[in-house]
Amino acid sequence: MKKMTLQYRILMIIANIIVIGFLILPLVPVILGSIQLEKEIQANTTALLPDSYTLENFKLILFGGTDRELRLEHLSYLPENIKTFPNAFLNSVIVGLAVTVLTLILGSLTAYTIARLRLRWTSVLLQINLVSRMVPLIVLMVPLYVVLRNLGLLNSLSGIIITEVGLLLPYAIIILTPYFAAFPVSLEDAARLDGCTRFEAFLRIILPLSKPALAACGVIMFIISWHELLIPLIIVSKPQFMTVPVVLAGLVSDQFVFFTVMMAICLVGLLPTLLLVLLLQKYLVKGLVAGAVKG
Amino acid sequence: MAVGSVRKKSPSLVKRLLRIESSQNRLALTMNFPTIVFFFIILAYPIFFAGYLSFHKVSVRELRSGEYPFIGWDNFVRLFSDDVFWLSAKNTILFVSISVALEVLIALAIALIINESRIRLSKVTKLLILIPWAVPPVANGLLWAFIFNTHFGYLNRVLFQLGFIEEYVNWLGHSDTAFMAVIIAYVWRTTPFNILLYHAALQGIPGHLYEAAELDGTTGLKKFWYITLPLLRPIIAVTLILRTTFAFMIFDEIFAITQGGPGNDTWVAAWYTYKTSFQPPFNIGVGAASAYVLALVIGVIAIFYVKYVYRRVEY
Amino acid sequence: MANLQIRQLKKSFGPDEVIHGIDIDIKDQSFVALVGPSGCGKSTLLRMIAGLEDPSGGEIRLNDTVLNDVAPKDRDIAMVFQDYALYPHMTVEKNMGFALKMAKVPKTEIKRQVDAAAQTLNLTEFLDRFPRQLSGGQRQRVAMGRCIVRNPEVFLFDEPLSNLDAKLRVKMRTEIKTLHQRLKATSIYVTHDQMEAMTLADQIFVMRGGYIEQVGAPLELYDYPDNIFVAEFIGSPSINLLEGVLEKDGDQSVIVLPNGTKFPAGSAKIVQENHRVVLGIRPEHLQWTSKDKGVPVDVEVIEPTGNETFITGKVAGQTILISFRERYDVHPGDTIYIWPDLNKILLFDAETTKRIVA
Repeated sequence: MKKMTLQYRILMIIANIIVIGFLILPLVPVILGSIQLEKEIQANTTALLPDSYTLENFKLILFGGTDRELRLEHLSYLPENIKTFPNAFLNSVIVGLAVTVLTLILGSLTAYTIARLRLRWTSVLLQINLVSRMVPLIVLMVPLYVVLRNLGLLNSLSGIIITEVGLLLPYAIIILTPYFAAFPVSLEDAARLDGCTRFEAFLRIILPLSKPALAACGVIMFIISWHELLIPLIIVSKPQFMTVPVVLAGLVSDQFVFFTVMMAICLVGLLPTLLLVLLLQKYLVKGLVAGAVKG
Repeated sequence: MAVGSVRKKSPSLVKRLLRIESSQNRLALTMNFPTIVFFFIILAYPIFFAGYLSFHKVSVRELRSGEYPFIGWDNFVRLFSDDVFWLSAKNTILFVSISVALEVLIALAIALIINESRIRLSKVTKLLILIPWAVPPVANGLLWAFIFNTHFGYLNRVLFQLGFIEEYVNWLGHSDTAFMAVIIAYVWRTTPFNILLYHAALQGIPGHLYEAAELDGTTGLKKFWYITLPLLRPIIAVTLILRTTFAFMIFDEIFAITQGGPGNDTWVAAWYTYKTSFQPPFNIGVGAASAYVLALVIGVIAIFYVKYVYRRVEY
Repeated sequence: MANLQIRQLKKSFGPDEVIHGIDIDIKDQSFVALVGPSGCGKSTLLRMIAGLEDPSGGEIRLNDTVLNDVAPKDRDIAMVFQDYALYPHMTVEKNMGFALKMAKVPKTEIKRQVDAAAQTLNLTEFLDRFPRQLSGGQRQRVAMGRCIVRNPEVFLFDEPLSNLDAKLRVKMRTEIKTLHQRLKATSIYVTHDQMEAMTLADQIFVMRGGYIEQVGAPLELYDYPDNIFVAEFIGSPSINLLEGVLEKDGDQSVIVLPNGTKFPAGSAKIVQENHRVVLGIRPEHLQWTSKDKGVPVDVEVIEPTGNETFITGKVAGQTILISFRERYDVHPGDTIYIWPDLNKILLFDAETTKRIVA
């Protein structure tokens, strides 16, 4: 390729800077908002940067806002949901981990049958997976609400976990199937001659060699689960079973909650997935690209 | 070499075939059993049940009693005579068109920029690409709600400091700007998905294609138009389908930024279903009907895309 | 004891039948080669013997046991794969010991057997390395080691040398033969390279399109091929084939080539009028002779290899390749004269392609 002119180079550097700005700038208000006190932000409505910084908001969220003095001094109002945030955080972690483990196990079993066992109905399974991504969640949630209500699974973490697993399995299967299919068949043949059944060959040879794909898939599952709002929103109405997105949604309908605390909760709520993405970027990219391209 | 007597009777051969077939079958069934159960409970059954619900009267009273009287097309009649429904439909289509167009164009531009890997800064950019995707959609909505807030939001602050405005604008109070606010928030969050795919596709274009073009005298923009763009067509088609179907389902940002307001001007399909089914009057029958209409529309559009727009080109 | 018997074996993939009722007998301790062009079904046949593919019909027997419904792991058969199929996440030692581990053999015994096999194959220094750290030839030996450790009834080889470069291939060929002589185990070797089959096997099965064309010892197939396909397939460089009509010329037979040239056909009997035949004569069975005694050949290409010289030319418009041990002063465009060794002439019926036996 031709060498770059100085003009071109400067242009591209500026372009990169704009893109970086595009990616990062929206998060700046979150940080700025969360480190200010309510009074401060109300006092000066034109300043870009706050005069003073504080970590009080975070203390408030994480320690349940039980310190009365703290509240009276810095806040005019404390939403109920704030108290449940630490619990909600824990719920999100539990649900996320459970969903990840279940989708990985069930997904890899199914992905293997589609990739290796040449049966007509297994390829139908793959098509079902591709199609199911196009079904809007809300179509499923309305009847699922009724079903779960009758099964007594409303207001429980199990209800959330079961529903999310059902919804995320197709993603896992779509990501893992091509990966399993790419292994040379001779590996499993060798194992089957060495004394393994087909299933043992899967367990002892294919799975250990699939660790990177499983890890990437697992992280994607966790992130999507962490982000999920609609499912827990509909299933759960009691605070002790809420997950982080539900708590965040609860802040919206509350006219009195203030942006400083809201931003603080947002920040804590998005940190886990943000960290996962920044640290594991390389693995995620492969999984996401594979999962997106059809067939 | 003696040829042994042929030992074969039709029944035993058939039996043997059946047994052989079923060992793979049996394994596949066992391994797939949990998945199939989940599919049935979470995907298959609800779809049919939603259809069932849309033809029955289901609200609070019926949920408690457990009896859902059949009312034929009543729910749909009520749906189609609801102005808010048509408003939601119009809003949804508008939203989807603008969002997907923006998503594709912005992602394409960014992918092209970071594809120029001779600029060292692009390495940094590449590291940050997934950041918007890492933000939970509802948190995304909240942070943009903050940015767009009239009195305390940062958009107004920045515009004021830069001298573009003198009075703070009520972004979320006017329909048009509120609509755009939601679009901006949604597009920001979803663009990384497209960027990843386009970037991967661009990486797959062999460099010697450009070299050959240069030898032929093609420069700059023409290279893009005649080489890059055609080779990107398949992946752009894929993202169009996927992003369109996802855009139809937008919910979190509406919830967090406008709650459907001002008035009903940012009501969209999923929001309509949610409000109808899970907020007073809790009319699940009509909600199911509206959800079904949404699913059908998405289905039709997907089929349309796959047949006419999505043409796989193998290079 | 490992006698393998295959009876009327059939295989179909959907509506396509790829193997049509094959019968094979393999005696204990023999080294058998399955050769044929791509797609002839040899690999499929091997996989069915191994149990990796289920037959659509017919029977496979090992000694007295019918193997058809026996799982691959229970057949006591080991296989060397074309791409070696070594487990990437295990060391050489673990690769070789895997089968024994699955058979629940005690660790000390596994170590003993693996060490013994490693020594036989000169792999001892590689035992703790991973497959990706080994060269092609080393990986191939590990693949063989994995089989030897199991001490199976039957060894299967699926084109094991195809991925190696030419020199390495020759070396490994010798190693495989030496190994067979030592272990004396029944072996079935699939290859598309007829030279490998010729040098390694006691018995060769030539396959084409799902059928067995001919079975026999290597030299048997070389000297007495049953049909044109086998004659052409076996032997490198390929046999020369000349088309013509069989006629009497004095007390000898000749074939008359299209332009009237007569090519000697030995003492073949004429059984019908205008019998169209194909005459086969190998390049090394043609001798240099003088103008009055020989058949003229228009020289086109001369290829000296040091050991022998190949001269390609045309006789009556048909291409012929001659291999001379001696070096003659010949140039492209010259005309030389040749005479075949009358005992080595093979005649094939032009229509049935079968060899005409005198």
